[in-house]
Amino acid sequence: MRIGIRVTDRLVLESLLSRVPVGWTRLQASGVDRLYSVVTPLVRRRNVRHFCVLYGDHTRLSRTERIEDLLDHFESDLDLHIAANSQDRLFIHAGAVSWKGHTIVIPGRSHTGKTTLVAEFLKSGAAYYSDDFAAVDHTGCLHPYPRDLLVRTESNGSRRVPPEEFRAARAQPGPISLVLLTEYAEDRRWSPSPVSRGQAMLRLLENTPSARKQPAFAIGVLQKAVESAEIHQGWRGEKEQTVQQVVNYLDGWSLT
Amino acid sequence: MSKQEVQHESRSTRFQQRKLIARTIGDELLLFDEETSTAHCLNGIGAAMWAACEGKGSAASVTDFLRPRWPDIEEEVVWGSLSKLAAAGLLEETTDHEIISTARRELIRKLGFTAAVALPVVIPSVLIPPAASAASCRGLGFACSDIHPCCSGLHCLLLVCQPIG
Repeated sequence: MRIGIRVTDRLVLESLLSRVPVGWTRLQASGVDRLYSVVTPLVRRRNVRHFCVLYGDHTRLSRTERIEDLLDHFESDLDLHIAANSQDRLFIHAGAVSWKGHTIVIPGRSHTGKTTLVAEFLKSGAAYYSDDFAAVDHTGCLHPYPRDLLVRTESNGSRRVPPEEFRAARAQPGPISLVLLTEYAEDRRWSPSPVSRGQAMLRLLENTPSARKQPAFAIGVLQKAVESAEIHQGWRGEKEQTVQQVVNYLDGWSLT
Repeated sequence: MSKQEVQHESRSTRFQQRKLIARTIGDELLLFDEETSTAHCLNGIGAAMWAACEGKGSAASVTDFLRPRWPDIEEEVVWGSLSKLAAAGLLEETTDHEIISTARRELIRKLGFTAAVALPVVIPSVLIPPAASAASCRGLGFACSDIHPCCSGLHCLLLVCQPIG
């Protein structure tokens, strides 16, 4: 996928490039799939508000005085664009970690507690794949798509937390072992029930941004991705208790 | 709806698969409708019924197809199940000369046949949302737009997520 970036200030370019997913390469290309333009004030004057503006193709995406907000917006839009249009990887809106070689995928929309669980797994010593988008290749193998975790704060805001803060290692590509279909509910305890592979596929498709655009590809990849995975569904309570139960369960696998 | 009326409907109706993306997953069948961006998952018996409608099939012919595996299945139950699959947009439903209208199908449903008989077909479905809705919501003070909505309790004011009220 070819992404173009143009800026009015060269210094901003470095900041933008730091938000592009790892593994990108510089290309000489006459056309791009999406062009981002960032306009920042060239001259700063007293008593005047200075805005930075981000465009995605011809659409204004963000107008803000804080360059960090603009960078966040850029990263989020870029991730979504890649997720919706990639033809060699399938992106699932999911958090993903690895516990002693067992890969855990937690699909879900915003506010379902995905990041909370991912962070708790990392605190417990899991390796990190991704917080927001899980990347799966055509053989069903999961790959790291490491981004800072967007942890919600008590004041309803968000805080970026680099995975390094948890001392988490980057996970190696591997098949999916366990899919957790779960949401937080007060006073509940993690007590999962089995769910059929077909119904799990529905839940995963629901969280696949490219599913509308390339359904046959999405279904084919998801089918391979879950063919050897266990799928557990249920409400969860507190993150510590849930993660402990899941890692105990996986440790049981390792013993047998 | 009386049994005679059901039998009459059953004999005059034909069902045929709609063109959908279909993948077998174990006993289940995953179907994707590109027109409506809806995915469906049929259980084993639903999958067998759908498969039996590759050409135009009647409830009787589908019943014959199912009997080796489900010997006790009755034609009326098959007809009700096929109607349910048609109502979900997975089969085309026709008589010999006319396309069944939605109103007629509604009438059949209101008359209570499908409600009175426990149908074996299970059709969980999901509407696949547009790609933009997969974006994580934005927290307080974060930049927002139509494709980057704010989290609940916040609204997008001047492209920044701010508390409601």
